[in-house]
Amino acid sequence: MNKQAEVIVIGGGVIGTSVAYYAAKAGKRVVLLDRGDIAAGTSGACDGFIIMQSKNPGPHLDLAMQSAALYRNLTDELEYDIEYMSCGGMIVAESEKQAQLLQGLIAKQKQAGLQVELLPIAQARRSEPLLAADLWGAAYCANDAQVNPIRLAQGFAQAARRLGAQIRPGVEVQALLVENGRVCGVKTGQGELRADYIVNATGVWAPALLSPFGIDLPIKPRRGQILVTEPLPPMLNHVLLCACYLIAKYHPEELDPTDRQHRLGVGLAVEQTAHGSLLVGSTREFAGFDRKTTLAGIEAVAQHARRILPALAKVNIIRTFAGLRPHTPDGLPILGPVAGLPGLIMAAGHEGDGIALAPITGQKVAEYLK
Amino acid sequence: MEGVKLTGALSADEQASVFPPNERAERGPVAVIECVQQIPCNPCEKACPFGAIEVGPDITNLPRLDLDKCRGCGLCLSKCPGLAIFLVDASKSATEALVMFPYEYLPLPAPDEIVDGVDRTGRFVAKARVVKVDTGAQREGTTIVTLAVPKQTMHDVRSMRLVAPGEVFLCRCCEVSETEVRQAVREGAKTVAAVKMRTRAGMGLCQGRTCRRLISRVIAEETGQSPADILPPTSRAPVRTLSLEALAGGDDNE
Ligand SMILES: Cc1cc2nc3c(=O)[nH]c(=O)nc-3n(C[C@H](O)[C@H](O)[C@H](O)COP(=O)(O)OP(=O)(O)OC[C@H]3O[C@@H](n4cnc5c(N)ncnc54)[C@H](O)[C@@H]3O)c2cc1C
Ligand code: SF4
Ligand code: SF4
Repeated sequence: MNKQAEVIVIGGGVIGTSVAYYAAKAGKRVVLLDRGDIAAGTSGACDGFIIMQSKNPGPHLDLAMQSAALYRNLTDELEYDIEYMSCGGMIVAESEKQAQLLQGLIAKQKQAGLQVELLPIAQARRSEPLLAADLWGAAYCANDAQVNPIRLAQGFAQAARRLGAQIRPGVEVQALLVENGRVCGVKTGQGELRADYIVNATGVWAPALLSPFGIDLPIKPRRGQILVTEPLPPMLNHVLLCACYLIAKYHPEELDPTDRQHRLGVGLAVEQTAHGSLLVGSTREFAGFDRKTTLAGIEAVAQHARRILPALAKVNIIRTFAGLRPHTPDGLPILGPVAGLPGLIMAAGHEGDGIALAPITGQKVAEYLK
Repeated sequence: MEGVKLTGALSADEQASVFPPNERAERGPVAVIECVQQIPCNPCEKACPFGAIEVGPDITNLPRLDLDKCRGCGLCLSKCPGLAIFLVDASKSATEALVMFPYEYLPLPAPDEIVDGVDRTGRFVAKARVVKVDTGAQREGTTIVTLAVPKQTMHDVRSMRLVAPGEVFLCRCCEVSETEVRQAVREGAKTVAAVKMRTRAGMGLCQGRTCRRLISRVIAEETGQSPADILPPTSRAPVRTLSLEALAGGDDNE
């Protein structure tokens, strides 16, 4: 059978489309397959924070900062409006205790070259007036930004196509083909396809393709539920997170299991999209592959939002949705070759940072496809 | 299978469960509440100044209309966020009936204009004459159109289409035109959800309630499928708008 491509990318989320774009840009013949459509998975059911100050100093923050640099002229490069806004971000601290936690993180981030300032509430409210007056304050970082993830994936996919990549929605990969110990292609519902490299960018679904080879990828779906408001006039100046988000993310052991909000891992994340809707999120729950929203989940998110931004009480919610973060035990994505399966390159497990890390992931993974 | 959950339009059984008897329509205008999904919503109850609509304390109950109390004033039409309430009146002539419905597209028709009366899925039913176009202040932005239709079609005509359509917005909330939707279908979007991902159609305030059927129709036309076979997008709570504090629960709740 002929080789139809040099690279097959499985998965049309922000990660797969980014890999397809950077690989096509490097001159590779690329085929991207998705069993649904572009952004049919987690990338179509998430927020669009490109947030630096939530990242742990070290490889995580380094990657994020490189990604942020790529974002700055991505709209022009893709010739597509990905609704990128460099709005700056705030992480809200409700209490002195949370402020101390942020302070510790900020000191390390400063060493890594990221400028973050801790503002008392009066000062934070000068630039974000809707914050509740009785909060402790907020950490502010001018480098935080936001993007529309669905448009990002579409933008990558279309730009890749212009560079010669084939984008094929509606094609499910059923298995990897292995010959002489090397992954050499994929078996799909529409026949076999061969290539030099196969990239697994299937997010939370990535382990399924490797389990037949006895490889147990540590990626688990971690659900997040989000509320969408009616379109509103501009009312937020930054993307907003609260410190509980960081606690839920990095120190779940500090959560109080008797508190429902804590049990559902609710850390507030609010952004206003280019169309005016606010996205108010989100929970962090292990609920298998269930993408339904739950009353307990959306109530907890709404309560938390009302606590931090009391002005939102009267705002109308028009929709709720849930997405599945590809969670890994160390919070870092699984990138690069897999021991024992040459020819296969992993690009999955970005947890709650896939949007922020999409450009750099595509660029780095393309470097493995030599 | 049919039904509002699957196709966005009422099945024959669902229609039968909400129609007032013909005798009632012969006596004068009366509301038709085509609300058959048990969703948490009750603005219609308060909208009626005559106490003709009852939802009750459990706001997921279906609204019940008291045919005798309803005077056909039409106030409830623009208060239903789901655009599920219509008015029919068979008392004015032997051959024609009046059908009143919310119309959320632009451009608006003009009185006396002849338009296509269409059914719940956007299919042509009969030619109709525009009697009134009410954009009045109490309508809060929802225009109410009254059409005169052949009497036997009064249970079928539920909206209209201009006869010489210019560039119509299929999804009015996000200003997505029919041409854009057709383009998306040609690029491979074969379900309502796929069209939504590409064009944003259906993501706005109405959450697809107005445009979902129209999008299905375009997909059906482009692909040759029957509209009933086209997968509706997943709809998730709250289906009708609710305030954040109502979701949060708590003291300052109504
Ligand atoms: C509620 C929520 C909020 C979030 N907020 C943010 C945020 O603000 N900032 C941020 O940086 N990150 C955020 N994230 C994380 C981010 O959304 C994810 O990390 C990212 O979308 C993962 O992208 P992906 O391409 O790896 O996966 P996906 O988008 O899930 O793509 C995988 C694709 O693979 C396809 N697929 C699966 N199996 C197969 C198969 N066998 N054959 C063919 N195709 C297949 C699927 O159809 C899917 O389209 C959030 C996540 C959630 C859930
Ligand atoms: S038409 Fe008027 S009287 Fe009848 S139900 Fe509606 S508001 Fe009440
Ligand atoms: S959808 Fe309309 S008719 Fe149904 S309960 Fe709500 S307001 Fe009343």
